[in-house]
Order: sequence, then structure tokens, then C-alpha cells
Amino acid sequence: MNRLSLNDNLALRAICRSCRKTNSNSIENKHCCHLPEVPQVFLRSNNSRFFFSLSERSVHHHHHLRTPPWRLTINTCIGSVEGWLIMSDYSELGFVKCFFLNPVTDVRIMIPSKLSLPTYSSVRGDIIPLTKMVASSNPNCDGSSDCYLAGLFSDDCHIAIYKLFDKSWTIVESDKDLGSYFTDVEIIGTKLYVSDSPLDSILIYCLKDTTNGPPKTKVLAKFPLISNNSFGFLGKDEALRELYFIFMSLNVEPVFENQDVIPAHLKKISAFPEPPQVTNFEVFKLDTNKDPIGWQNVQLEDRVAFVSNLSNIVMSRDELNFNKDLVRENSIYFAFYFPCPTNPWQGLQLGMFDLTDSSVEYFPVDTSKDGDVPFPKWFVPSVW
Amino acid sequence: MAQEASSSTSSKTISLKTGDGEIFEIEASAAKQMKTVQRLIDDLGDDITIPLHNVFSKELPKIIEYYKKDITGEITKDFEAEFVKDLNDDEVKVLFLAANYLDANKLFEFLSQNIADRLESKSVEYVRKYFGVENDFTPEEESKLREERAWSFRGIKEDE
Repeated sequence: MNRLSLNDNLALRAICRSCRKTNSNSIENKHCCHLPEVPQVFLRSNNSRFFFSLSERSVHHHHHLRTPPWRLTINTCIGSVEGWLIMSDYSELGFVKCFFLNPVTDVRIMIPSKLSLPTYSSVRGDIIPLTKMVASSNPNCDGSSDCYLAGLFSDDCHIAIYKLFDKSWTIVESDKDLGSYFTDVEIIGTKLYVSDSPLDSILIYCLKDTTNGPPKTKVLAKFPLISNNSFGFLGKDEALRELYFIFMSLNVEPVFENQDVIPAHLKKISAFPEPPQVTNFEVFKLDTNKDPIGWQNVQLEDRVAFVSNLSNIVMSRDELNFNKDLVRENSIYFAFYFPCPTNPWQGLQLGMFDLTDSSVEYFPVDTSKDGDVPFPKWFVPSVW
Repeated sequence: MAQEASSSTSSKTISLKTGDGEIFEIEASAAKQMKTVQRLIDDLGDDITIPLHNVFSKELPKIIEYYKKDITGEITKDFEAEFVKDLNDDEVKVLFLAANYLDANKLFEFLSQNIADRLESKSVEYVRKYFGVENDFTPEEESKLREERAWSFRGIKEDE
């Protein structure tokens, strides 16, 4: 079974009951898995759900995505880790319940503790939703390793931290006196990395320190020097436990939200006046051997990056085994939605940027352009 | 006498008798690669003919050919491609089962990969036929399974 692709593994399950049982036992006991798949883009809006496959360079719709829990529009995908999507359920007022969902097997792993949502003010009472959640590993129920989650709230002032199957979440607040605001998160092992744009710094939290209240923060490194009008995304190479900061430049400047109470440097993008085009990517790897710790501007070489708003993966092409020829070395595969009221579907952009020659190739998203534009995120299809 | 003993040890051969009564000779160092044979040698001694009830005269020569190359370090991708080139699916399966019985790990791993390659992107019906398995799912179960297989983006190769 460990020599078969996901596709052929699923075929094995369809041969007869005995084969299906053997295959299911193997999955449950984590005895062996199929060959690694190339990451795919999961696209979801209120009324459309589909996947973009790099192997076929085309979109695919799945019948089973129309059944619960997918059909519930109150569920939002806020992240992914390996073969699992991280979903949030806002059906209970004032709380969010999160769960892991494997879109291949439809298996759900519920997070037992619901998260009480902070509010903008006790008078106004509007809840602050989660915008992104990251996890340190696949969820596992056998206790073989700890799985940590960190969720970023839309106010950029709160992060929720949780160790899978603990009793409760821990909330970390930014230090507003210092002008600190959280703009992105990533977890590697037991370390939570947070980008703080106003302070131009990466903060680090040790997640093992949450037993007696919120963990303490430390400034790990300043941001690398980059051009203006770049958008930075934290990503990780899980195999090597390396942190990356990937910056994307566009040819169009966005329009920001017009809210006087928010400082200029924290205003969120409202829209783009026209569909932007990617003009450049720069990749920085955190170098913990330097003193002080700093960033190295790197080429990916035989590695490849998959970048989107909610999940950013760096991996060696060798990890993809027989699939490695499907992706080009030293390249960044991107999937973004840029809000563009004049032409909404043109704001959905999937493509590849080759760091070697700075060329860009866009992938056509051939689907009916009805309804809301879906929000893309990368995940790696897997049966576990 | 001592010199004779050491030279005979280095080129010592073991006699293997197949399930259909044929006897084949194999170098002791190649026989060692098959754990089932080695266990029998340990139990019965290396002076007698080792019986292999579940291996037959059609496949044992191929297995011996493989391990002759293995002990001289001559297993290459080209050799392995040539080794299976003219084998049909049934012949590969029989060889695979023989390698499993003999606990011949290297050959077993190689043939596992070859079988996986032969089944790549094949239809469920083809795989059933390959393994000689009956479909025991109900039509409703099959319909659900087809939904699961919607993940098969690569498409399915036409059955030969």
C-alpha cells in the first residue's frame, strides 16, 4: 500500500470488503500510508467548493462536498495542516468550535474545548472572529505526540493557543503599549512564531509554557529588509523544522479600509482597483546559527513552496517521490484571492513563480464564475 | 586438507528441491539471502537437499538468477527492468508469492514495486481480475465508493 498513490490506494478500498478492511485497519493503525501527493488548492465560498489539482492543472468538484459538514455555511476553513483542513463553527453565539476535517475520508476530529470569542468592546459586543489557524502537526488521537494549535483573530490583537485534548484555550494579547499587533502566525514543534508588522519583528512563544497562564513572548529577530508594498507570509519546512518568511510584490497598490480609529500601518486591505499581477517573490529563511538570529535571503534550489493566505508549505521535491516532476524546483506555487470589486473572479489567482528567472505562469481556473469568489488554501490530500 | 575445506566453503552449493520434484543448485552465499532457506539449512544441515514445497521449477531458476547477480553486486536498474520485461502479470504474481515464501526480502521489495507499477491508475475491475477477487459490495456501497474515488485526478488507464 505504501507504494501506491492516493488514487490507487482508494481503488484498493473498492476491490472487495476484505481489501477495504485491510486498508482501513492500516490507516487506523497508521501502519502504512500511500505515496505523498502534491499539494492541492481547496477553494471554498458560501456557494462553491472545489479543488485545483496541479497534476491535472484543472478544477474538480466532488459530490460528497455537498453533504454535511461541508454544506453548513457557518463552517469556515481557517487553515490546514498536511491532509487536514482546520474548520471553525460559529453556530453557538459567542463561541467558536473548531475541528479538523480530512476532505478525502470525511473524517472529523473535534476539538473538545470551545473557544470563547473576544469582543471589540464590552458595550458594542461584536465578536472578533478567527482569521487563520495553524497546527504543529496532524491531529492524532493516540497521544504519540502533542498537537498544538494557534489561531489569529481578525483584530490582530489576540492569539488563541491550544494543545489538543486539553481542557481550555489560552489567549495571548498583544502589548498595545508597545504598539504590538499580530499579523501572521506559524508553529514549528512547540514554538509559536508571530509576525508583528508595526514592530517589524518576529516574536516567539514557547507553547509548553502555557500551564500557568499565557506563555511569555520574546523578540526573536527583526524583519528582513524588503521593498515597500510587499506582502509577507510565514511558512515552514516541517521536515527540517525551518521557518520561512516569503514576500510577494504586486504591480497594483491596494486601497485600504477607511477607519480613522485604526493606525495607518494596521489598516487592512479593502480592495484592489484592478486585478493585481505578481511581479516578484523573495524568500527568507530564519538562520538560528547567526548571532543575533537573523534572516538569509535564499533560493529554494531543489525545494518548492506553496503559498496562500492561510497555509504556506516549503518542502523538498524529493518528498513528493514519484510526483516530483509535477512541480518545478526553485519555484513558488501561489494561490491568492485579491478582492477586486470591478472584476471579482479575476482576483482569484493561481500560478507559479520561478525564482530562477523570475517568470510567472498563471493556471486557468475553469469553473462557472457564479456567486462569491472562493478563498484558496493549500493542503496535501491524504487518507490520514 | 584445511585448504581444500576453505576453498570448498567459498564455492559451496546448496541443493534445492522444488514442489514439482526438480533439483537446483545455488551458491551458499545466495541461499543465505533467502531466510526460509537459511532456516532450513540451520535445522537440517547443508549437506541434504532442501525441500521447497511451495516453489516450483518454473520460478526457482528466475529467483536463483536474481540472487546470483545480487551476491556479485550486479543488480542495476537495467538488470531489473530486463528481469521482468517478458514476464506477464501471472508470472510476476507467482514469483512474488515465491519470494514471500522464501523470505527473500530484496526480490520481494522489487516485485512489490513492479506490481504497484503494473496496477498504477488501473480500474477497480482490472485490479479485481488481477488478484482474482470477487466484488462483494452491494450497489449502494459501490456508489459510495465511487464518490470516494472522485479524488482520482489522474484518470484511469484503459484496461488492456
